[in-house]
Amino acid sequence: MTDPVQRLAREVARNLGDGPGAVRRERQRAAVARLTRAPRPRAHAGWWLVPLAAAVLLAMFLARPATVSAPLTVTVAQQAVMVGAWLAAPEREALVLDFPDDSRAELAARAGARLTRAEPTRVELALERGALTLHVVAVPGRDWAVTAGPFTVALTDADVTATWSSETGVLSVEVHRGGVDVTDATGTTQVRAGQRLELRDPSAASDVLARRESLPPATDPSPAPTPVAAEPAANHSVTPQPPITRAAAPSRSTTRAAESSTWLTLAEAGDCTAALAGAARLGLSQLHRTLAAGDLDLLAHCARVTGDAARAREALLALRRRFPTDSRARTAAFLLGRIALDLDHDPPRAADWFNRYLSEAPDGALAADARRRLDELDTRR
Amino acid sequence: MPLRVVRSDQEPEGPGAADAAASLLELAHAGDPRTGAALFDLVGAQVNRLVWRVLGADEDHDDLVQQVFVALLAGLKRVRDPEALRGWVAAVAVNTVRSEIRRRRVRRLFGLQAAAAEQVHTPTASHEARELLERTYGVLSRLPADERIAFALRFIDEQPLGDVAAACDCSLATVKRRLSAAQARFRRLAERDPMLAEHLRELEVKR
Repeated sequence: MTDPVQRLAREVARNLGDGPGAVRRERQRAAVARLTRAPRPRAHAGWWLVPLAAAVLLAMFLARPATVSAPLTVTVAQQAVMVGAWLAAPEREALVLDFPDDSRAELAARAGARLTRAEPTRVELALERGALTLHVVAVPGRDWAVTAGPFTVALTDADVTATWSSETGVLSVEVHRGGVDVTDATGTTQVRAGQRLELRDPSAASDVLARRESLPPATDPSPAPTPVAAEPAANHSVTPQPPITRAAAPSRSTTRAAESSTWLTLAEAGDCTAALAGAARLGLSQLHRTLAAGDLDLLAHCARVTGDAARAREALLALRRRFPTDSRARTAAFLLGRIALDLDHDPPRAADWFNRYLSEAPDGALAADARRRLDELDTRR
Repeated sequence: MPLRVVRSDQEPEGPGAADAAASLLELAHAGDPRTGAALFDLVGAQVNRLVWRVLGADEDHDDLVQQVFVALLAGLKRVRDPEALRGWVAAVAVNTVRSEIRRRRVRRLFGLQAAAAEQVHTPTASHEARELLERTYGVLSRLPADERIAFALRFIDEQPLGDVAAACDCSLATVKRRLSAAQARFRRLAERDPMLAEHLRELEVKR
């Protein structure tokens, strides 16, 4: 293979690898396995309940209110959505699902969910990532449910926002109106208007810990993470009990290790939004003082990808300040120029950083790019 | 879609793989609930690699893999020959990826998807390597879907021409034509990117 394009492709393959890591593959496998999962066995002792239930259901069906019998058509931008459809909100805008009863489901930017059921008596959405806000209008006989990992949020008449990260296994439920029931393996928690509940799937946390065991130890375990726990919204005192306290309670050091490893694991998995949020929980100024150069670079990358100019800049400046002789410090100058240009829209500052990169690395891999950008900035003036 | 017997020259299937494929088909035909897990165990790496290399390490990777498996499970009962399984899996994965590329293009045309969605997330590599990947996949995203797929399978994944043709459901002559067009188009577009242009010149000198 002698063609430079083919050589470039080979180099790309080397850098790219064969696919995501073991943690993500295990999660994929579990999701695929669920596609052909067996239905739960039923108890034989209650066989006589079957005809009785059928008779009751038939009677309920015949006596159902007219409003419930209408077929439920769900639309996005006036286009009908099929049951089972995967719904992914774009990078920078929400995706709104409209229901015929004036209920509404709003997937925040970058969130993803699947419409798993849209029947007159029950609507179900499987939230797979990000935030979903539901404005549910009460209709007699109609239940709503949002599933996220092992959790189910059930409601009939409420406004609620559910935020789920499959990476961390954390579900946050904030009720703005009405009330919801949040169920997991350990029981059901009622959350009412003005309350917020945060739950963690213990199995997801152990995944992260297991993954981290093979990585180098955290550079500094000292920052005290904010533990994932139920927290009431302002002016409310009710604090629902999260499952993490009902499950095997991890020691403080274990929780801290999990917190500090989580953002790195998320960043390595490519979930930059969640990684940045995890890092922020640990305290960014603390991380700037303690992280190794590679991890600072990674933190800056996550902030840049998510469009957070301030955090990207702070991480890169910390990298340059603490590791001035590292080659990544020179690259950071170029990146600071990109941030100034692309995110801050500040051409003079961008030009300063590109010039600084060229003075520090005149033959660097990004030198041609820096020169081209400086030429473009000159042309604009 | 007609099923073909496809075997990679680089990775010949052993008798164990054929047995595993036969067992999987038995599970599928019997409607066994373990089919999903067994299918993933057998072809999960193949599907991941194909989607990863064609589209890069983008954020929707896991969702696409899931979509591929939904399609695979829907059609698995139609596969009769265990030896045809891997070729069929590649064809289904390519079809899913092709639809995704076209869907993204339409969304971009209507301004519904930011270009950032095409960004490559490989944080373990150095910044220069990330830039290289980002820019390469940026150029690839501008190729027609069929050319992009052929390019990725042949040059990035280094699959034999016969496998590429089978996965793309076209003749050898067609795939060669697509590769030639893709290579020329890639070169032309890459020349407009200073980093890629310089890198290609360096690779040319090293030749």
